[in-house]
Amino acid sequence: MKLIRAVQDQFQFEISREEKHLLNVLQLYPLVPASHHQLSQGCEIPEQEENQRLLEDSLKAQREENRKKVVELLNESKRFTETASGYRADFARGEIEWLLQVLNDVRVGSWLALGSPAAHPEVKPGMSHQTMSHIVTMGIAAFFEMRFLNAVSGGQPSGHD
Amino acid sequence: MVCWDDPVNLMAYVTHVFQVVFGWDLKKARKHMLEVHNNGQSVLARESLEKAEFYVHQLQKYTLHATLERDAK
Repeated sequence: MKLIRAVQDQFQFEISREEKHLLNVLQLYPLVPASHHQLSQGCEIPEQEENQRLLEDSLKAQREENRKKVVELLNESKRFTETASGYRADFARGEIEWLLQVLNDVRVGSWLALGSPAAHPEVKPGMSHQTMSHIVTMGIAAFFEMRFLNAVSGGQPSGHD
Repeated sequence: MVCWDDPVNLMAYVTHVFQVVFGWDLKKARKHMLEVHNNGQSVLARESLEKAEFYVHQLQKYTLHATLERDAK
């Protein structure tokens, strides 16, 4: 996946067929359990229950909205223009922002499913089909995150015809 | 408001989110990202409860581990 054009807040990428297939990782969203989100680590906050509920409601609304956008994106035939080597796709900066949220949710959710290795040194995920699947998913999410981050942080387009 | 280290998050991603949510320049965002990475946490802002809650909501939408904590100062 290469950035080939960046004009103001519009970014055009070249995506290989394999990469487009890997974009289906978005379908896994959301992976982070709602219970993961806590307002505080231990201190007492005024009206804590109410404020925690507000956080959960806000994140629930965001998940529903992002989920809807993911379905639309993956079913939007005009988004991906077929080329000789794969596809071209345009994304606005705002779209990249929610895509980053979705991709990181998938990455963090997979990491949590592995038992949060590195944060908990005692956790050593074994080699099973399931753990391998989580590890691969994390890698794919990171791949797309870095491509989008490079684009919005001023990365240079790699040229095009 | 504190952001805690989740070793799964990419450094470039955390820096980007700080820039977007707080409007910080790259230098300040990177400084706080490195604090999170090296010290396990960074105090991102000292704000009223309402404003701090808003920031926590925004950061958690990006799946960053951010919470409200009582100021020790």
